[in-house]
Amino acid sequence: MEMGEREFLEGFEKRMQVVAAIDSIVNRLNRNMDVERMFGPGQLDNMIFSVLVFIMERTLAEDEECTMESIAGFIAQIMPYYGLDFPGETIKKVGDYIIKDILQNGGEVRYYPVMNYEKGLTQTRIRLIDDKLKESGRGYVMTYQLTDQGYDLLFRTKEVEEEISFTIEELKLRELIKRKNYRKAIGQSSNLLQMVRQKKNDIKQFIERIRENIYQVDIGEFEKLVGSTYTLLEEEYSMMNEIRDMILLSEERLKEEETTRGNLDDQMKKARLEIAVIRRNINFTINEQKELILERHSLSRIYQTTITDSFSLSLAKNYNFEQEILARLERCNEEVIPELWKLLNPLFRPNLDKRLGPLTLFERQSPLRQEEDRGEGLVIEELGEDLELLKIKRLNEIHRLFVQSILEFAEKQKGSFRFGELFPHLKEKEEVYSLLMQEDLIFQAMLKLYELGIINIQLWKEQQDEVVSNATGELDVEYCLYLIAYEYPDLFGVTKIEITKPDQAIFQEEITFRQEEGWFSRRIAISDFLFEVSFT
Amino acid sequence: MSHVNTGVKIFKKLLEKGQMDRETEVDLFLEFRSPDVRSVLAELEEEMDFRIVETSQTLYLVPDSGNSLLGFTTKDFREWVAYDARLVDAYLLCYISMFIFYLFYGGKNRNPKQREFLRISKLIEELDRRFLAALDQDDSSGVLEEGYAVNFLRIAELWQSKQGFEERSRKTKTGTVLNTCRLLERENLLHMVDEEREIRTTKKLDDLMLNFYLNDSRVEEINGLFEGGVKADAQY
Repeated sequence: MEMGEREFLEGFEKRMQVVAAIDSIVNRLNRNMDVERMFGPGQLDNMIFSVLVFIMERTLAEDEECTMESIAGFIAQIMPYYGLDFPGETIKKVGDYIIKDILQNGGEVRYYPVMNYEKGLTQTRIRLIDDKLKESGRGYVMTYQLTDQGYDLLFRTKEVEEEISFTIEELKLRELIKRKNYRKAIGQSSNLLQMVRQKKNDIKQFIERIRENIYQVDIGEFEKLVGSTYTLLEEEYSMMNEIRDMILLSEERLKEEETTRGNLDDQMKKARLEIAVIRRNINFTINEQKELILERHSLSRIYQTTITDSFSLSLAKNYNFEQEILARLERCNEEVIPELWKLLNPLFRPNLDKRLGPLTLFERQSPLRQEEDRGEGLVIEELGEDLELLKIKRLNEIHRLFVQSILEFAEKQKGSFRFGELFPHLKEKEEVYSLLMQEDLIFQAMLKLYELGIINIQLWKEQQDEVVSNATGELDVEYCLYLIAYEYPDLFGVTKIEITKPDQAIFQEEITFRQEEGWFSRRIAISDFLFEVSFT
Repeated sequence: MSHVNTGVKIFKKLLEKGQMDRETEVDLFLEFRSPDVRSVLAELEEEMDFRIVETSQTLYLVPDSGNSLLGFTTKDFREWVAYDARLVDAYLLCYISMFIFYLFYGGKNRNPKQREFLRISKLIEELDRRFLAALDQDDSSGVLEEGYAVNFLRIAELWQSKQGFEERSRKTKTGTVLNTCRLLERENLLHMVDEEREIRTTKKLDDLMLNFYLNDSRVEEINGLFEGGVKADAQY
């Protein structure tokens, strides 16, 4: 289409950008009906726009950071205007819903098709607010501010077009001061301050956008910002100086009047106060403008470096993540599963400490596991490695039960005892007994305890630090104590047990067990060890 | 300082933190661009199986997939879940990690990053949907030519058997997801914010994803991994 014939459609995309921004609020996705139902028709729309204005006010006029708490505070203040009264927790939920689900679209990028009659239909990204993660003493704090689009929308819904308005504001201010209309001039000067802060925010956001992702930045936007904004600011900078001079002049005149008349009437006193406020605002504005002008070159430099660096990036093609990784993870063969760490490996930090640090020398030594034959089609729970782990877990549990039974029995006996006395106690606890008899575990564990000679619980309590998980399945008294203490923190009042062989006494037992179809029995003989127990 | 010294110095810095920032190491960052220093580092890359990924502000040391000297092993992953965790848990951990990356970087645009943050509740919903789809398809087996692997269906079942949102133990869905996120946070890939209800990617993850991980040239390596072509040097 020849634009000559359709000149009225020139810049049509600007109109649609406003529509797109409004659409993101009115036709919001991610609707949570539980929250929506709490409001009458249109109420939430009004509230969302109010929150946007609040964010602007907070970040521009007050130069304060806008957090979720301050937004919730604001919502609580405006609720009565809607005839609503919600508890604090609900207000927080509403704030969260407005910011995260609606204005940030649940974190997902939102696009709207916008027609540009010269370039065709383009997908325009809609983002009205931006957030920033800051680290504080208590963790991360999220602060919110409007994006360019957000400001644009708000200005178009009330203030006149941003750049014209800036000049108009200045002219109005100059005229008002000339006419000594200071009260109105205060309003105008604070508007100027707001606008310059907004420009400062624009620059900051732009730099962040460049750093975050150069693809989101349009070269046209960059040129517009660097070219027009800074030229404008420089002009304004000199104009603001003029205004400040005028203010100084007004102050001098007031002084002269005071000297001539001897004193100032109420009206003149008020005028003097108002001029002071204007002067403060103007000074703030000039300072902020100065900073911006000084930063001009850094913005260009950052943009140029980033664009150069990302040139090769723009040529790179990405693979389809879902197809190449997710789908293949869902269909991968069993033998690939132990290799999956390789997918994450390149993203993780070098893990050198773990491999080469001195601790490795002191790590528990466990026998090398032999590669087990795996039958075809085995499901994953039955993999050799898992079986090994399950076996160790089972052994650890049996040992825990054994040590716990010794402590229980010691408490019951209130003194020392022999293995021959402990055994019937174990036998009474059928479940524990049957576990302990598997593979003669009880006798192996008993010999291990004798080898240790002493279980010093008191000392263990005092020195107890990091718990090392038992990786081997061998009897590890400290690990058992750690597990028992979880359920019985006083460890049955026992402080020490000494295991000795005071004489040649032998404990003998006939053991009956079942193997496949038949019953078998065998006689087992073991030294009748003595358990000498100390209590607290 | 000789080129070798400079190269080794950069390597040491990279080993310490896994990355070197322009802001804190201005001089070394500039030295990195010298061809002589680059060639020293290239030899180290070759010999020690890693590569240096360069972005405008940061250099990253990226261990090759199979590098278990500088990197991780299945045992590490499994132990992250719990000392007694099974391989199936490590598989689930890996799947959830990749699923998180997919939700963030699975976009089809020139910039594949498609979201700024992700709520844990949304992540659980999406995982539910994905696993349920697998289990449903399994019920009507034989419909598709290439179905899900039996083992994947086992992790889908393991996922579905976990309780819902309330408890935070690792036996619940929330606990399992949070455990994965904490590992990724420890590796400086994610930030967990809003009392662990929301995750965001770090600059490191953005950099590595956009400059390296998603690059088309890695497809062959990934193929090798899934076809068992890349042999583990040391898994345990």
